[in-house]
Amino acid sequence: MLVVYGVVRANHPGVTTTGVHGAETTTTRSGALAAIVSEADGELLARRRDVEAHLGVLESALRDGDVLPFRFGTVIDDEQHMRRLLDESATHYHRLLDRVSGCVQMTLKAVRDDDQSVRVAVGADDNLRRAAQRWSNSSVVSERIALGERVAAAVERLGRHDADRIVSQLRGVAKELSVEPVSPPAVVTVSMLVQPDRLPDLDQAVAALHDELGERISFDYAGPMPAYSFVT
Amino acid sequence: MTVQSYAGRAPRPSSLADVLELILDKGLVIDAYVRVSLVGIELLTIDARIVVASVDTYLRFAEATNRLDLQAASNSEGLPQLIGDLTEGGASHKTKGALSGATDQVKSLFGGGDDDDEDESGSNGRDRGNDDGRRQRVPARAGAGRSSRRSSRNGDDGSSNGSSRSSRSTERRRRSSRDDEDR
Repeated sequence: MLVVYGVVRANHPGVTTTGVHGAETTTTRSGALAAIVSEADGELLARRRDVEAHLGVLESALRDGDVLPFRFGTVIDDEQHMRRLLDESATHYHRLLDRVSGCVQMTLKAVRDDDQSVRVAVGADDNLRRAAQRWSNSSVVSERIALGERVAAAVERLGRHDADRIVSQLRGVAKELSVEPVSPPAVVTVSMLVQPDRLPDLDQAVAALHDELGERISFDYAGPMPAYSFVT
Repeated sequence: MTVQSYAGRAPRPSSLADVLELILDKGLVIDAYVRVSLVGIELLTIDARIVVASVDTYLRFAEATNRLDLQAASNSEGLPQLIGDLTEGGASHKTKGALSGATDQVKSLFGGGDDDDEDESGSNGRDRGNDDGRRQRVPARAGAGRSSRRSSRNGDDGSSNGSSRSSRSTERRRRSSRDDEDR
């Protein structure tokens, strides 16, 4: 059984490193494409070391050229099947390689701070501020619940507003942009396909967002990574 | 005051949960060729994703306003466009829907599972994540994993966003303990 990490063009030098289960990675070539694979027996578990190995192999591949990242846990019977898959899917894979060509993925996740968000949301709304003054210490639980519900809704709207602001700030820098669903307290995750020479611009855009929203939003900014969000 | 100092970009997302989301939820698949046991992943996914609207959540937000200096001048500069939105008022009708939605979510995650219990033994025995017995195996077919995971969390993808909140302290504790034990 072979673990499949990714597909590259045949002129990619390939990757020789340690993959899932500590196995050495090899390259299976067919036509104008090649797959980065390693041998594995038995079950694949999504354990930290194997997950990180999978990502590490793809990061190595990305340093030497374009790569289509496969989802963790993709396996195929043997090299013969792998070559057949490369042949059958060649058109599709070439189209995807062209899409991500010369680009890397950067991801920005924005997570709100609840207390700061409450401060801003309530401060911006006179009615809500009066309601808070009246009911935040109420001895009637249902009144505090009703107030909390209004505050929660206001914080949620503030989060959507911030998410829109973040997306519009990044849109100009990225070649492609994918907004991914999140659950609170995250307000948005944005994945971007970016040419490496635009990275300083993106860094600047993210720093500007931090300057603007950093009091109530923390940013997790990661990359360059293989273009996971742009190959499906 | 800033919530967190900004450290610029890192090579990878900072939490294991976000890395997993990247490489388990995205990336190319070959139909019928994905075979993986997501031992421990569902636990992470549930903890990161489950959104339960609760009275506690609203009480927590009400209490948060207590910590504000409400006599302070309105802090609305830079946010004029918000004010219209923010004055729309409460949404008491949402409570019931959110709560029952959350119940459905919990049911779909923990109840009615047809294959939850059948792989308690075997090679998974070495997994240290079995301490709370909530490991699940996800169907291994390409696409199926994604769709089942998607459906189990559709409540947080917009439908109940406005009125639901998870218990963050619990979430963080579980996520970090999971991170630790998986090293």
